[in-house]
Amino acid sequence: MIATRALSTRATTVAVLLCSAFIGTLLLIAGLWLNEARLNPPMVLTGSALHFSQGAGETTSQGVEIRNVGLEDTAILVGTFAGVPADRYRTVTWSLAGLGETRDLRILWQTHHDRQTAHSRKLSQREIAAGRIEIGAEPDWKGQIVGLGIGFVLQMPLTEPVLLSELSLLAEPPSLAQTLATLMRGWTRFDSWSDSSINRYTARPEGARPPPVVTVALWIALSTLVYLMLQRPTSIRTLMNTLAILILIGWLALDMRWQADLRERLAKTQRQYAGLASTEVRTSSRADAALLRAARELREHLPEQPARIFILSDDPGSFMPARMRYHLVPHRAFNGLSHLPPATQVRSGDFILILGAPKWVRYEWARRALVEQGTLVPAEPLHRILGIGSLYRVGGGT
Amino acid sequence: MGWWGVALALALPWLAGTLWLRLLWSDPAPGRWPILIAYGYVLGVLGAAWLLGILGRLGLDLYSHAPLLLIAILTAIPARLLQRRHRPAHHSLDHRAAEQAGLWERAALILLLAWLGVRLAGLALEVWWHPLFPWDAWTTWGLRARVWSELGQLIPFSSPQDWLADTTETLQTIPAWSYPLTISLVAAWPTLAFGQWNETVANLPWLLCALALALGLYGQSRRWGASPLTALVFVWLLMSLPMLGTHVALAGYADLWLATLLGFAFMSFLHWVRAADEGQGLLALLAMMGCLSIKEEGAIWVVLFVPAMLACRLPGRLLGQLAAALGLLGIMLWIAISLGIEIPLSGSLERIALTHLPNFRIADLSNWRPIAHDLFLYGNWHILGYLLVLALGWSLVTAVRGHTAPWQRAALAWVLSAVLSLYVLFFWTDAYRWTFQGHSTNRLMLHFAPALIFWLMTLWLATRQPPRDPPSR
Repeated sequence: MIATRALSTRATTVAVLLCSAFIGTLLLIAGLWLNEARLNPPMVLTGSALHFSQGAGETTSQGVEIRNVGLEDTAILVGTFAGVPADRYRTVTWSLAGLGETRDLRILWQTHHDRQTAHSRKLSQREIAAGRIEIGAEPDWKGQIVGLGIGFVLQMPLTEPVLLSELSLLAEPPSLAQTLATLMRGWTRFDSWSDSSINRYTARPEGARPPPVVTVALWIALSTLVYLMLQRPTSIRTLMNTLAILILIGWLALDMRWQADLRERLAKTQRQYAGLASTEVRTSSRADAALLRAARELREHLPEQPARIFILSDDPGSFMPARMRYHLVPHRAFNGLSHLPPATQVRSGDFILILGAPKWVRYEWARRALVEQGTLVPAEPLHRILGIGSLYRVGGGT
Repeated sequence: MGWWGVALALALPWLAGTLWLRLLWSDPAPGRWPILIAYGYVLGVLGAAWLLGILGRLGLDLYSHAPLLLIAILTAIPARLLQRRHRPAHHSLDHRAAEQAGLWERAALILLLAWLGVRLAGLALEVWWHPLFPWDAWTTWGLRARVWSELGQLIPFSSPQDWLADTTETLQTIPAWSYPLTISLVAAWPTLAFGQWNETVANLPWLLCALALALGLYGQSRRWGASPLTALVFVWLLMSLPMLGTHVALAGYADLWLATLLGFAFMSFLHWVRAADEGQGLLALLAMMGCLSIKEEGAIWVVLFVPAMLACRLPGRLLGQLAAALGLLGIMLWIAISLGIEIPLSGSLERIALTHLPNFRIADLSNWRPIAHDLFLYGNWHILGYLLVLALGWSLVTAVRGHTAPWQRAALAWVLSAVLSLYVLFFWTDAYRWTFQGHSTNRLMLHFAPALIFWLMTLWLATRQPPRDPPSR
């Protein structure tokens, strides 16, 4: 009897927990959906946000008055802004008064990708009367929209001022599918190993919203709240058990994403490195492979015993000199120089490797020396590798 | 010796460390063997590295077999002693607990083990295929190892100034020339047995360190009173952290080792506080010594055990009042500096300059944003950041109410000290720049991850039952 009651209580708790998780999921999606709409407010251009590209007029409290036209009787007003996604913002509206008969009314826009080009779309009479246009289908309406304008041809002289109260770009309310797609981007897009991987793992692909960690935290919080509303826990232990289950489910979801990410990275690692005969050829990039080849060439001009090598470059802390230092091991190299060392610090038999072509150092054949302003280091050129640098031996002679 | 040499170089120190610890710790408690194997590996490999360092400084050719022979002798001694002490084998308590587990628990255990196995296998392949990749690995830790491996001698590294003035024609230099040598020696050690420099061989100790960390957490959790499933869940929570996994896959940094040793020190320290377990006390001391030799931060992190020691001696209410007083002092100091009020012994508005200590700079709080992003927005730690906030809140409330055991106060003091030290580092020193650059924030947090996961485990068990006393000897 007691066992049956305990089983029944446990079954109820599990059922409530599953309900809470389900409702929590629905609430999360609903919240994200509403948030998406909030994140895409109308882009409204009024007054001083607009300026004349052609024509002239005056900004008033009601809007922009067009008083004069430019070339070919055309007035154009434009406004620029931080980019908005073209796939989300697809409706342009305007409020024009005193327009009368016009031969030509156009909407103009610029994209982030091509700021030099002003795309345009001539409006039909019906669209002019409606004061709005669904512009999303235009082939050049893509990427990020960074500028919007309106242009019209007017018959001069104007019988009354033409007043543009506002020019707006409206976002479509996202559909549920779009919201889910934006959410899923964070769970299905992955990066590769990079130099910053050792310091940070963002798990925040571009266009994904919200990040997976925040999604899980919100889901756990919402599900817990729903659980508490549906069933008051009989003890702290029951509450902790419930919270623990939700946390583990959320953590597992994040870990499955991480595992999928690791699997993709491992596949790239395998394609790049697996099956290679020797560690030495396992370079991380084409640039590194070029440096490794260069280091091998340079070794042919270096003694067998570790030699002292001064590595000069215009950016000593960058990848190239640091990596060359590594590839020249066990030679005693120092890559922290951007200028020639004083002649008193170099000795005959040392080597100087100049990476790139710093403009302030040159080799003077007449003096058989490396020269930089007041510094002169007698040296003999040994080897030059195109695109990498040149090796010199200090002191000259063999 | 090739790959056989590598196997010997990794196995012998492991065996030596495990057997010596087994000799010192014969208590057949749950989790004993995972603890011995885990600590044995880490301390054994560090011991081998230190031995290599000593022999290298004495001028020994690093390719000689002397270090391996010495370690073989050091392995044989405890093996012989244990053989003399031989007792009939008994069914380990871990095995018994697993057998007693219900069907769903066993299924969960198997699934978790399989999941962890897949994870470790993937990371192992990354270590196997990937070249030495992260920046500090091939500019510092791995570069020194490569020099020693290629020359067969422990060539000293000096500052660029000393390198320029050197007439012995032996000195090498790198920007981080003053970093402790231990990790570079750990990387060099198996390559010397291999016979030549090899990046994969140099990275293998990192993979085994991760395995040791997992075993150590499992063993210490079992010893604390966790069931096999609970212990394994917390192992999974730790091993699933993306930052930790990254430091295994892209091996070569010292942070994984410091995280392991600091975690081991914390786990053993808590056991010692809770049950006056001398064996755990010794393990804690050994792990702390290891921390000192890994990175310079290790010395600071070891100091965190001082407030923890004090806390377990102080009553909870007094501890809460002390923490509040320190917090208030800190806030007053911060406000005073921000307002430009003269502080005795201090320097200018922006800087606290105390004699014999590094300069502290009061930074504005704008770098809280990148720190918050790393903890709560990005994928570095899954939802560990949120859990820690909840755990800290719950622990503080419990401590203020006075319902705490000494180990709980010690653990809380340690965690609060860790948070405080990171706060001071990121907000009161020039290290605030690191938070914007994203270079070090998560790597420093990684040092505390194993300890924090263990702490969460202790809190979890505390909410479920009174802490079980460990089996008496």
